[in-house]
Amino acid sequence: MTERDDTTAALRSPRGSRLVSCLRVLSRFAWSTAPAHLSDDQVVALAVDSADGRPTDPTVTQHVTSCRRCDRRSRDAADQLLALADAATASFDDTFTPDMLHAQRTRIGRRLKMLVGTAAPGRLLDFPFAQNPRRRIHVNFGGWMPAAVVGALLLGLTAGQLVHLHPLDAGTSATTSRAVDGRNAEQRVPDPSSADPRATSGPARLGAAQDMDMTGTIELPRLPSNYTGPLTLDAFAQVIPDEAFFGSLDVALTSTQVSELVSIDALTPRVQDLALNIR
Amino acid sequence: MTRTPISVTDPNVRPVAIETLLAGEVKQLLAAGQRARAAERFGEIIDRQQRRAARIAYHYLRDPADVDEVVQDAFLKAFLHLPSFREDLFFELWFTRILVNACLDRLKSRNRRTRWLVQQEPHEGMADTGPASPQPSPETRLLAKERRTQLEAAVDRLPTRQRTAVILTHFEGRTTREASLVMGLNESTVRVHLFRAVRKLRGSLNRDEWLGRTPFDRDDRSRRRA
Repeated sequence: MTERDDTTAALRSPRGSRLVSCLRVLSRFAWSTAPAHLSDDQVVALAVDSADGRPTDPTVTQHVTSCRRCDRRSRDAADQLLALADAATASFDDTFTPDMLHAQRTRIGRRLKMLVGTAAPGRLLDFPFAQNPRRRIHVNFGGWMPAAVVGALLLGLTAGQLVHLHPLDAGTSATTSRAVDGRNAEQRVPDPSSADPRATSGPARLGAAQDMDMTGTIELPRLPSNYTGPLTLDAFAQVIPDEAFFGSLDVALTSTQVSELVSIDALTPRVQDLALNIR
Repeated sequence: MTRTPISVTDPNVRPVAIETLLAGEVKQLLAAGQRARAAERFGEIIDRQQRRAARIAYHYLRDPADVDEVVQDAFLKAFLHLPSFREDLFFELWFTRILVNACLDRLKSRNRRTRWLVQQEPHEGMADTGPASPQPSPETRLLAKERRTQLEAAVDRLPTRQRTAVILTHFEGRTTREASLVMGLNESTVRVHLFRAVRKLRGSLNRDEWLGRTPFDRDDRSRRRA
């Protein structure tokens, strides 16, 4: 029989079983009174305080020194903080090479010099593929440029006024318009051989149309130079005979400049008809 | 951020007096009208602070072009406002505050701009930039890069104040007191932000990802235990 068999037999005896149960109770009591492990927050706080160089909680420190598990956890937390810093530094070193930092330093220095006004003026680079650098033409825009702009403006205004007052191609445009709606024009213009002699003749209309303004109006006759009265229709009636005035008015109404109103005009009684009826 | 005066006499703030002395000198030169000389002396401050400034801006923006622009603007802004700089304050913290505000402004404008655009792949364009030092193998390099990307993405997801607290304390090695001066917050508030940030990071990343342990490492460890 071995020594182990003796121990087993002793434990199986009534006295031995009582001893085992006592040991079990004692071990349970010892487990319940043993200090619990540090919480995760305590471990983090310990690591943060240690990294910051601050004094830590003495009870926590004492527990860490006696508990292997908590000691390992706190060391892991401290390692994690160190790894965090190392990773950040390595990432920066990978991205920012010394050349980049040097270039950045140069740029800061240049901007600083520009700020204090000691930087050299910027150099104009030539086009990259130019064989020979070309001389730049220095143009003094201070003197003649504003004068040229003002002159061009005045010239444009004057030309605009002249074109408005004296149309260059009034006859041409009248002819063109007449060609477009020539059929209507032929219907409108009476034949001089068969027309009423009191009616305005075709050639007379054309002549009057050529004297017309582009706007399709006719100018009133000039009053005598010694006339000092008010500018009323009666004053003009004394200068121009009624027949001539109505004829001019008819020409104005049937002119090509108002050809858009031809259809309305065809429905409108003639001035001459009105004059005949009145008479 | 609210303005809190930064005092040199604060014992919890580490002495960063060289830049502060230089800034005082530049301020006097500007007051005397010697702008060229002031710019020259300010160049020494730039030499000292440029890398750190670019690093902080990079942690916020992640885009080299944006970082470049923000850092340049921050230095010029600091130079322009140097006449109003109080010499009893730390230049480094004063400048960091200018820089952080510039980064946050840039982030806001970027968010407004990209709200209407199609979302791009994160860190697009950085894949071609090779590492500064050669890695042992492409697999290791790839895994390390992947882990860094995950860490950066987790940090980018943090709220602004928690992110600032993490960047200033854990990335830049500032104390919570100094971070509180830069952020214009109470120190205990910064510690709360920091605590929450770390807890959030631990929740979003698993332990092995964070510590850079690969599945091969785990197999290796279990084999050793056996």
